Amino acid sequence: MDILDVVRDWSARCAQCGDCKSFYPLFLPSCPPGYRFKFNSYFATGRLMIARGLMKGVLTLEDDDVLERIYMCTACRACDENCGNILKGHIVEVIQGLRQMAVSAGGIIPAHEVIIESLKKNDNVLDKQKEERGAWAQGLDLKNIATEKTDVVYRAGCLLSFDPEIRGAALDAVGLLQQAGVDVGIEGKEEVCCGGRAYEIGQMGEFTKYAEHNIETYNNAGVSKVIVACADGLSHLKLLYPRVNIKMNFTVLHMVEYLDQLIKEGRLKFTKKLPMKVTYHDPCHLGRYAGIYDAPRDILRSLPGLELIEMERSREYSWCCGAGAGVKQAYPDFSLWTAQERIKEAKDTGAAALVTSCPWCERNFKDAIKEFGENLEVYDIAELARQAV
Amino acid sequence: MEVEVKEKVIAELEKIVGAENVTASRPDLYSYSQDMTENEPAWPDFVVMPGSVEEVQGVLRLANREKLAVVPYTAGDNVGGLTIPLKGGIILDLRRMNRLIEFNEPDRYIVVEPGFNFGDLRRLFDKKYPHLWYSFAGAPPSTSLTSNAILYGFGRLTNVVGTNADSINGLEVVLPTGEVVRIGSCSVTSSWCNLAPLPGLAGLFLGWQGATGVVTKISLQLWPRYPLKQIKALLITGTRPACTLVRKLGQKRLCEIVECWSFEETPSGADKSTSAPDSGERQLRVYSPDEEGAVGTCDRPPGPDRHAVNMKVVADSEDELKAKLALLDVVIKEELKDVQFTDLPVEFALQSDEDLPATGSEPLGGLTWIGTMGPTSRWAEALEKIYPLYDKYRLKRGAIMVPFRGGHYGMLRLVEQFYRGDPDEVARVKKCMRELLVVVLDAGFVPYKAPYWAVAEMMKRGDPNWVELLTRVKKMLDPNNIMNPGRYGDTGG
Repeated sequence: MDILDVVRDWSARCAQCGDCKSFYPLFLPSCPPGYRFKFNSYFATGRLMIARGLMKGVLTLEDDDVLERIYMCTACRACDENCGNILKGHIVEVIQGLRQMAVSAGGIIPAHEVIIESLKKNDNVLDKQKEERGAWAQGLDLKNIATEKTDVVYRAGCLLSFDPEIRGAALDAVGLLQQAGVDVGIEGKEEVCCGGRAYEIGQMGEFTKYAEHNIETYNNAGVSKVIVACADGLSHLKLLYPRVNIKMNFTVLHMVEYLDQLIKEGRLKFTKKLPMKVTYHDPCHLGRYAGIYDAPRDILRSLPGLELIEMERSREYSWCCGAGAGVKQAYPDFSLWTAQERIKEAKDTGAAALVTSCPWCERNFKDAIKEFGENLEVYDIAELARQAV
Repeated sequence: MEVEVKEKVIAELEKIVGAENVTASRPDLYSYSQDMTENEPAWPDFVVMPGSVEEVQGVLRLANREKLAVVPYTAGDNVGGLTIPLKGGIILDLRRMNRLIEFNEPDRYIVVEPGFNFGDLRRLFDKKYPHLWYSFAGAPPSTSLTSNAILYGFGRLTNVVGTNADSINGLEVVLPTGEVVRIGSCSVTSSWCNLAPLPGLAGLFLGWQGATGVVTKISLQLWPRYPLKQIKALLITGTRPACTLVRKLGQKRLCEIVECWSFEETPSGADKSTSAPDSGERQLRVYSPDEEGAVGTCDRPPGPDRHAVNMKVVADSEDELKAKLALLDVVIKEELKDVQFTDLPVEFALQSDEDLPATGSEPLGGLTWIGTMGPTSRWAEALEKIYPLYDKYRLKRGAIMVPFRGGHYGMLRLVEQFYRGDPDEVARVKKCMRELLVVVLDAGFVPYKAPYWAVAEMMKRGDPNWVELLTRVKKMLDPNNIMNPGRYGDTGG
């Protein structure tokens, strides 16, 4: 179905009832831009109205603030979770459709131009040199799937590949896989972006290019599993790639899914105590998109001495970290405000650390902690698990 | 509006409420120009979010000076087009004013600002006061307690407590000219406990649809949440027996909730719980015009009229519950002898119990009603004229009847879901609603949350002295006619 039809049809089917604005049955805020800026147009229902206005021709993409309202959404799907009327996933689908329309009409915002230029030049979204991509794994003696056959490939993704402050999560992840005896390889500097961010900011051409490239790479390498470090990457590979109609001869798993599986098979044992109280943040793409809620919790509960305390908004009711869908790049202040709201919630549990399983969430929490002078540790699950081995 | 005037007004509004809380950008204005009903959109010139009573006063004084219309707004889900700014002007969005001022457990009332909503109250009960309850409406959690109450909103406990306006203990109102007044015991004492026995000034602001002032605080009565409950639902053939049973049950005051719904088995849409757009193979389900459930149009198959009756019995003890249920059975047997009826699964009636949120309907985008209150003895007679109208316009029958305050009067709500994307269906809904208005008024029922065209019809039909009084009251309180123009008391002069 043409994206214009998706936008037209589903924007007409929103009754503007407002159920999307809070998590039922908690009755707590669900939509970050809505709760930050409060005007109707910042909530999902307002965005669907904007879509309706654009379809009817009473609004145009050139009108003041239209692009901002379209792009200032982390696509966290909290609205879709709450709406009992529109079929799940289709509110964000309309927002994605609006972004594709905007891109087609030349409505690209400067921060997103930077992302696209970076992808075209360096195959990553961070404007980093592509030659540096595999540097995180230097000295690890890992196979490269381009030259050696492996059963499993580990995808670090853009952020873990280039961000020195959080790349430890990638080192710990492959360390755990090796410890469990997994025949794991990487792509090194040949790894490229998953293309998901391009999809999220409406750049379908770029998305398709990376999806096709990655599927063909993994098919040609003959790997049976692609293990993804990043929640966004997982949802893009698992849920978006099938749309490009190339058969995928491999299974896509997030690191926490695979880790949980290895633990349950007895291939990984934790012996060291980690006497700490932690709370877990569900990344939107791992939780609401892919439905993975238990695996990360099962891993944390299997770590000796570690106590997991839940935030009130957890699992499908999680408040977004604020980093997704190009928002961190385009609206950094709002992105950090969103993260700060989550950090406050995490601290209210009495936990000493906030644990997550997505580098984008981790990065944004760390940035917010620095920005607002908070005192809370942030970890990727793999980091804690490695400490306990 | 001229650009210079607009810029001047924006600058002044920003001074009053802060730049972050004023907007005049087109996507923002458009998102306040319409609601879920079939009523025509109208754009405001500004949307303003005050955070305090002083800021509301400032906005109203400015609006008076500039003769700008002001429409108080909380969630915009009133199903009557009540916040569509018929004459442009300022939408006064009150959601920032969402403070809980007082929770008085011993005297069972709550004092809140207009942005405090059903979800906020429900959360408070769930967390801290599980023994207390409110007459929650069949409305989304973002619905304002204040708006619902001052519009004579329905709640599930209406058979016990009446409309939610009947639960008001006190009000604080900013008058259109900017003065702040308090109504009820809070005007002469420190307590917000009661309206009586003072002169009934609350009526100056109830049912007026924001045309006489901006309510900035409200005190509302809370009710017990009983430890024991039993829910029962029946499917009854025929209109008259169902209406009679519900009226009798209302008068017996046996049930905390008793409701009668027209029962139509029409095709429903996809399984919303499992459909996901991204589940591997693309599963984007799109309703096409020729697919069942895609639109609200319904050609009713021949067959008898059927109604579902939902009943909820509550009690403090097992003995009390048992006794009430036994009596309920007696009433049902007595009233339904020689009538065809069956039990419905309890799940059917659960929507009448745990009320929020209001989701789960078809994704059609449009919802409207003629919601009325009137004599329960005339429900059946009215329905016999109403149902053929639904059929004539090929729309699904959607009548709900609920007794209020022991059945002294009751609700007759004619609800219609419609597909916004089909102009023909929207046109039929418009015509149908206007014809329904005539039928209900003729039958003795008065619309609540009435859209402007229904208000105009009532003012046309009404006793001239009543209309004159409305106009004088409106003029007295709102000399420049800035408050939500086109509603009660506005004769267009």
